[in-house]
Amino acid sequence: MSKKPNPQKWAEGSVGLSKKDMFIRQLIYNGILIAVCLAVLYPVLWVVKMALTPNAAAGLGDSASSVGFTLDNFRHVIFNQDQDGNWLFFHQLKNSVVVALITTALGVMLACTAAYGFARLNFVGREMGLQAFLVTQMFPGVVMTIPLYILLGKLGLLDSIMGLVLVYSVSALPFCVWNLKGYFDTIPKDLEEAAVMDGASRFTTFTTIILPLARPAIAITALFSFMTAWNEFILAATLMNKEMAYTLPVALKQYVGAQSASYGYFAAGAILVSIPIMALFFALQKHLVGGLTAGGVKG
Amino acid sequence: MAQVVLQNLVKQYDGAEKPTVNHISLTIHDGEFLVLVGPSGCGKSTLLRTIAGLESITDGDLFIGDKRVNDVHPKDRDIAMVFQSYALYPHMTIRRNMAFGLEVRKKPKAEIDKLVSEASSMLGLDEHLEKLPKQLSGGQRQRVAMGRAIVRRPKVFLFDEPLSNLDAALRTQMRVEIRRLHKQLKTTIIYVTHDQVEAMTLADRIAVLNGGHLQQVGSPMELFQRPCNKFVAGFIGSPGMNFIESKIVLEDGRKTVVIDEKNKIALEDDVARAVDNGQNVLLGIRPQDVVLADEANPANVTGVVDVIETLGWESHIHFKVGEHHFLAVLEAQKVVGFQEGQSIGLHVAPGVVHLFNDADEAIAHGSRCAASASKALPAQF
Repeated sequence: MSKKPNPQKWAEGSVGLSKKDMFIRQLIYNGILIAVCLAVLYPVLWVVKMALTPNAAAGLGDSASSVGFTLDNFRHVIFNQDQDGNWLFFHQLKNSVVVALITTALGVMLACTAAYGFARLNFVGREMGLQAFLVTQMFPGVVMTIPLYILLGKLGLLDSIMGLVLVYSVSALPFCVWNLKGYFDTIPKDLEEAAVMDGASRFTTFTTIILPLARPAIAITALFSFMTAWNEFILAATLMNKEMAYTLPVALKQYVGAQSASYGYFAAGAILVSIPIMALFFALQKHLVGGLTAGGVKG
Repeated sequence: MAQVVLQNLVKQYDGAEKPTVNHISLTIHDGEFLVLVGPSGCGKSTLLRTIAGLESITDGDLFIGDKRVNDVHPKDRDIAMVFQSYALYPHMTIRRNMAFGLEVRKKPKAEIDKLVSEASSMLGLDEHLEKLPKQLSGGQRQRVAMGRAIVRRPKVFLFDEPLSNLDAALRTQMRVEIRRLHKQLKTTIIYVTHDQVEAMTLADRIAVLNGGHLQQVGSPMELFQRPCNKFVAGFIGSPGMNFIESKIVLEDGRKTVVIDEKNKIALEDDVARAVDNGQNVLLGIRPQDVVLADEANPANVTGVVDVIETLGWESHIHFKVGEHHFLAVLEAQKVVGFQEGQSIGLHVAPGVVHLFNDADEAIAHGSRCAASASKALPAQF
């Protein structure tokens, strides 16, 4: 009797293999995956180890395994005060949160409207505008540092949250616009035309039909904007000169100077800085789902 | 309710070499069900979108009721459109989908509820009102799309190939529902389709388009029985008309259309008067107009059976008549025992013969074509 081919086996490319061969193959695949995961996670584990090791400030070990346990590094980073008794971590955290939230709100608002315009409206310079956005992404951010410093200096926005927000919003905009435009392009035009026939204005159509359907792309854009503002170091270090005006990445850098390096504080600070990003990711995760337009049009 | 008047309507897209809709003049009467029909790319959907206001008008005038609406925004034209793709708002419930048009027009909530409830009862959607579109079947979604149009009580309904995404059985069912809906609402409907069966079964009048030109406007039976040109003759009717290059010859003092030496059909007097002896014509015969020859109906066409397709109560017999392919629709019981290669005598009554001249225009029997039809591209059929 001829053996029937198993479609699943065909798909997996395991046709004709014995059980033992398949087991060995699985073992190799999983071994490779575990090795890659360890390589990725090792630096993270190292940071965790440094943050929790009592004498980590003394130097860098070559192992990610901990030789003791303490929360002193976290306590120091969180409760550190300057000479005037100001609670630095609180102010720096506040700066980071305010900058990141306003950047996100401003960035998403500007990107949504701009991307919709590029996706749906025909106007002179549309193609050129889109390409110009791409060109701005081709230069490293550092190139812009000096012009931005001079510009913000003349506007009196150095050491100011608003100055930093403006710079971040604008620098994140090209990616956000391209990302959102790509998504708007996938939303069937029939839906908008149906709304027009129903009597909706362009603005109503945008806010009640398009934006709810673009939730996954908006969530990604928001996450990207937030991360851009939250993690950025070079511009913040250049444009913010007072310790009280620092954002958290700049504050972190203070622990690893040319003369001395407090790696324990640095590692603890790095973990603290990462927590909001992880929290945001989990909060937005439910919106990062596809298929929102399912059922709307026959496709 | 309102009539819709198109006067020399032209739509040409930027950069296009020729207009997609070319000088179309047409009046759709108040309460009429008009079907725009034609092959893909003939401009029927563009014409509908132009009436809707989704496309601008390049030239000509468009009136809805007494009002010229060339420059009126779609939302102010008081028309509703049902899209081929349904175009339901995927994130809204069926109730909200149907209510959306009323909500943006700021109607009172009580009135919205009443209208949605009436429409959903009419369309059998009551139990689905709180569901999302993705939870419904294709037919149900199409009903919601119609419901969304109905609740607004517009002057004119526009349907853009609403059934083409449905399977054959559902299409038949929905066709009946749309016809019933029109009887109930008595609203002017302009309905676009490429399916001539849909056009024949639904329309009060059919407008046939080809290459952006209006070919002929008339009742389904008028178009079927008296097509104005070869294109309309080929497009309307299923299966399509047989076309055979022939010649008019005077035989026994009577003008006869001659396919070849063996196959000749004597013409009726009124048709004979319209053709000249020796004139080349295109002979058109509907497959349903062919009967098997008997004593009362002597054979004037002899065909050799090529392929037999049995459809139950009728059979499609593909013959070879000389060099030509010739299809006949015959009662299945009468063709039992037919063999491929067998020679069969057929009778075509003089009264059912269609003749077309060099310009593909109907001779004698045809109705008048629309004004712009003569400018049309060469017929594709």
